[in-house]
Amino acid sequence: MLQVEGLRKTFTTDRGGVRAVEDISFTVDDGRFFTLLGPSGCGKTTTLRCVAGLERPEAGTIRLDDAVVSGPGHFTPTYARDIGMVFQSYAIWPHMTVFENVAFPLRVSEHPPSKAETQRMVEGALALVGLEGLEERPAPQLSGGQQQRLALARALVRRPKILLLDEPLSNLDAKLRERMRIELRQLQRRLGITTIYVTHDQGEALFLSHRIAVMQAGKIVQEGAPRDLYRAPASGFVADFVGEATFLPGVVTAGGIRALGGVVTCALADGLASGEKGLLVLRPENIVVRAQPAGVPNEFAGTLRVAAFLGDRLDCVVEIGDLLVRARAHPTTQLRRDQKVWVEFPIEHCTAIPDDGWRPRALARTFDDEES
Amino acid sequence: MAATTVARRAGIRLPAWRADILIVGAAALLLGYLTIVPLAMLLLGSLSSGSSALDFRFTLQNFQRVLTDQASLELLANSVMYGFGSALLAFAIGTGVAWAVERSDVPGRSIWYGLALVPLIVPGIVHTIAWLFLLSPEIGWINTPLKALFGFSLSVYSLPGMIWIEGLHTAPLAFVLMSAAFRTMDPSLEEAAATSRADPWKTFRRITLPLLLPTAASVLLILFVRAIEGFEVPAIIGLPGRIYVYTSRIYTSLNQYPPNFGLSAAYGAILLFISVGGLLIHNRVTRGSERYATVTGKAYRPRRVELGRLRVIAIGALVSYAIVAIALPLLVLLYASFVRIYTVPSLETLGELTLRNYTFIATDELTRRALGNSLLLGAASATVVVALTAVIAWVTIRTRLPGRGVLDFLAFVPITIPGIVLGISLLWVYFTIPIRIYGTLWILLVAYVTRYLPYGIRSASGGIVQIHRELEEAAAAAGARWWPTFTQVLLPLLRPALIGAWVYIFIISLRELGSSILLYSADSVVLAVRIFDLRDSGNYTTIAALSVFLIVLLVILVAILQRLGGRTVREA
Amino acid sequence: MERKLATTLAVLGLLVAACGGTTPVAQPSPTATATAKPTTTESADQVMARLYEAAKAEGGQVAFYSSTNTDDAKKILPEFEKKFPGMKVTHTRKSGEALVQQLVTEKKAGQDLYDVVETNLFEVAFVVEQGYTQKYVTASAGDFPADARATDGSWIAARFNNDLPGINTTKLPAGVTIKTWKDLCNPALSGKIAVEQGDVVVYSALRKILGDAEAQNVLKCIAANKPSLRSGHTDMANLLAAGEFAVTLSSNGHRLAQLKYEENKPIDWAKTDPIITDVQAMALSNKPKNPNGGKLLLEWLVSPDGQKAIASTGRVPASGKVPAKYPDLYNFGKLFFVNDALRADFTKDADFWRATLGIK
Repeated sequence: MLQVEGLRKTFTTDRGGVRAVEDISFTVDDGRFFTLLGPSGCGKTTTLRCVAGLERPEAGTIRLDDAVVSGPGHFTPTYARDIGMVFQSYAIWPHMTVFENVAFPLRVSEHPPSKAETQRMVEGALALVGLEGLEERPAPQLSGGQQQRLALARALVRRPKILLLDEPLSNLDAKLRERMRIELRQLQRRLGITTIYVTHDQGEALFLSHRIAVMQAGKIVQEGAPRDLYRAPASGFVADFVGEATFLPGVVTAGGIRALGGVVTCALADGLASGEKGLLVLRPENIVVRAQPAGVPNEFAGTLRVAAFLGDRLDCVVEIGDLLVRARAHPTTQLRRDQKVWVEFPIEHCTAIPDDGWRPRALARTFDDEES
Repeated sequence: MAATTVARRAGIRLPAWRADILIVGAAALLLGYLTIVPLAMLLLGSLSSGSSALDFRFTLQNFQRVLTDQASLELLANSVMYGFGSALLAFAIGTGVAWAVERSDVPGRSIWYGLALVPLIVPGIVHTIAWLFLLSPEIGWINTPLKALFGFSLSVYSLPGMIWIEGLHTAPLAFVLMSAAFRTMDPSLEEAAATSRADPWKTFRRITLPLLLPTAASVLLILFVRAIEGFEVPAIIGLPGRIYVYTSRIYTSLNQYPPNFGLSAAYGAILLFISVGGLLIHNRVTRGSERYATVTGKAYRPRRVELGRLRVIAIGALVSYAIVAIALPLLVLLYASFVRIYTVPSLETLGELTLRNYTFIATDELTRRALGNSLLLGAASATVVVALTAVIAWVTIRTRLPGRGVLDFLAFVPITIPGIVLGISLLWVYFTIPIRIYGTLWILLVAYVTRYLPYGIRSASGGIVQIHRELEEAAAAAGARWWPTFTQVLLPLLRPALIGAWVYIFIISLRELGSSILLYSADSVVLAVRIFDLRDSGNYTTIAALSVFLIVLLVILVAILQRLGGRTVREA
Repeated sequence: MERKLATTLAVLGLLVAACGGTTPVAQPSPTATATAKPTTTESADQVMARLYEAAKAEGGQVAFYSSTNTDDAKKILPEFEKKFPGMKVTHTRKSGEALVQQLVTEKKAGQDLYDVVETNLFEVAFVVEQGYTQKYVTASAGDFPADARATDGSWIAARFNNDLPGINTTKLPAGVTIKTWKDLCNPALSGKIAVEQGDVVVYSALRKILGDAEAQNVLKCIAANKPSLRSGHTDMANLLAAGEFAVTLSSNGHRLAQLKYEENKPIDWAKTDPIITDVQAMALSNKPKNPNGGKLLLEWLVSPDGQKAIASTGRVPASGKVPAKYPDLYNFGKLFFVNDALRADFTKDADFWRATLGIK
């Protein structure tokens, strides 16, 4: 089990900016897949590197199975931590063969296993990732996907307590990425190894994880199971980052929020009082688009701007006033551009949350996580 | 660590010592000792009237003499004229050849490129001796027909003579630097001029030339510093001709008797000051030139100027250069090596050719010792430099240790120290510190290692920067401590860069004269010094034979080691 | 774990080895003890036999610092090695000033590298003054005239050098004869003269021979002829033979004789009167690396055997017992020996010499 408490790390870059990870706390239970999700520069890789011991935090404690590996006055160096790590660039050693790459962690350990034992463990690890038979091949001769598996095999050969992965799929092309996603999930569930995963891709996060922590500007803004994050995002940022959403800001009033020239009926999240700024976050699949008004509550008229046929659905963009609403319709629906349509926001899917000011596609320029 | 585990269980707290701290600490100490101590001693020596820093008696007399002496102004003037003259000449020749090879359509470009680099193999002393043969006032190869036909001779024992020899010798360096500049120029800037209807000459004058100015200025500065630091030409040509520059003055103030060590140190300090100043200005100039940056790193095929009828002239010029710079000196050395006493060639001398000189150098004890010493020193200094700078470069690039910038700086400092200044500095060090290595190979090793540190650090840094940091982090994540990471992951990947540096240092160490001349003894004589010494005994023909031998040796070494180095690169 | 320990030890070991052991510098003692045995009790051969045994036990090496050029040394030193099999002489060859500089530098750096030094008297006397030698009276010292040794054993001469103006007969302009130094002032010789830049002793001698005023004039007018300044007499003589100049101010007589008689070059020399005769002196180191080897070499070089070997090179042996090979180097005039007293004004003379000739 991994426990992180109150982690804080600051960098000064050449450009004078200050990168920080501030007050990060989370726990990962044994065998669970935990993902740090966020945009570039949010601090997720820094957090992972602190867990690995590649960065030394200024404050906070990291405990692995109740033993402190990083804390005030104590810091276990990376090589002494029982971890396996897959880097974004894979970091395969080009001057070694596949076998030597995977055997390296065994050979440098405090009590290296015998030659026969090493052979067995390496072959086992390679079999896990589907690279058996390629032992003698020089590592640079592997394809991108194979190198990624090699990195994984190397990380797992010692059967470490915890597996750390830093955006391992981002260098693969789309199809390969999908395949690896599936294999990775299956592998982790099968081995039951505690895993921490870093990514900016919410699809990966949702697919792979037991729990996700969404990070923004060095802090965890929400943590929970994928379902919970999707259904009940705590802020606009989380809503936008996990899944797609239409943002409807307004002022909170009795029974809903004031927006679109009227009142949109919705539930109110805890702590939202009348007069405060509220935000309605709507998922496209929950918005109904009709060619005729249906007379239901929360129905608004608008103009259809885009109706794109995507095979399993119609992706629509409807303009209501100065709001652009993303919606979906059944693929057979007959809709034409610039047609007047009626959009319903079903009450059961409407909950207003506090407005954190976040808007989609209004990203400020942030620094790269990897800069030191 | 079994020991620390036991200790910990017993409740004793041991300080954690790690291989990396120990090795880095040792490397840093060694670096500091090699670079700071000699310079400090030089300064102390120049301010002392005693001849050991332990015997320090403060005096400004040395500097007074160096700066205000009537002769000193002349010395400064000579040095500056010599430096600039050689720099300009080298620049003119080098740029001309570079332009022809890189920017014109003269045929046989790869041949000219190779030929232009050949003189780099020839050591300075050999080159100077060859030109001595060619331009000796009465009996030089060039002067004899000149006298016969025109009644005058060009005396090599003059400032123009010195400038000619040094300029010719340094021209390949100018060639290398300028051809790199030409190669990476963005031709679209010139093409834009062409589409604006400017003819080739106008384009050259108004676009090419101004763009090249920063590079040209910096190259000129490097050439200047090179020239005033040189020892061979001032010693072999300048001394007999009574033209003194700083390097020869350092040498002579030691060789008068009683030897004046303090004065030598003062001259050394002045020369160092000039050298450092020159390089600082150079850095300032090149930094500012980033505004003009046309070096984009992309592989452009540069536009070539069509010479048309001028092609014949260009080829003629290149051929003349090849003859004057390469063929003539080699020929005269070959000739001189096969005669008994050096005289102007004639039919009768050609009939009296002998192998006497070669048998001499094959059997002469001192020469054989010199060869052995040179090879041994070359290998040893290359190894030490490569090992030391690999560690220093790693510290500078991979760690966040405070003061690592200082380490990097120190490793580069020796490039500003002229060879003979290092020699006099080391004399002072070992007059003071009771480590008895003067006159042995060890002091030469110290000198060589110090001189070649910058080359090592440049290679090692360049190599490490190209190796992704994550490769080492992955090793740490796999459980490897510093030493296995350094030796099993970093070093194998760094090997091509390290081998390249090793080979380069080995080869250039064979030509070293400036430091060796002050620090050697009969036991530790090296090749360049042997040639210098033989000249003292008037054995010119033997010198010629030894020079030919040295050139052949270097050519073979370069060929073999490049072949080896290339293969290793491919393997990695 | 063990590997780390081994690594550390190796690194430390390297560092220690590189220092070559740090031993404190011992001060050179200006009053080194005399070790000579009086010659009356033993013959030269007996002394040498005794020293030979001891030298072999030492390792059979001798470090010989001398200005004798390599070619001539090749005729002398192998004779020593032949006579005493197992002995090996390492010859460090440099011209006078450079040799002194080397020696002094070594001593200052705490190194005792030489056993016997042999060069011009002026330079040897300087080394003696600095305390880098010891007194040693050789068995054959009695063979030597008074000008050829120091009675207290500080130094003894190996040979004499007749310093004569050298002439290349083919390059001498028509109508010019050189009989004495003043003849080099002839304007027809402008640009055709060479002077060895360390030859201050010639001027010091001229001051005694011609008187101060005349000597200064001669030097000044020679300087007016823009002589080429060379380093090394042999070098200069070879260039003279090759035709690089017509006259030299002063060359080693034996080299001129070699060029004339053995190599058939168009060389001659001015028959000056008196003949400046430089003394090439030898001394034993105060802390020789090979004490017995050094003494053995010294003994042999002054013995008739050694002197004969020296004579075979054409040089003039200092021993009264051995004849010279080329008597016409000195049979036309009186010999003016350079002696220690001439050194008294050395600094003044050197300054004047350098100033007049433009040596900076």
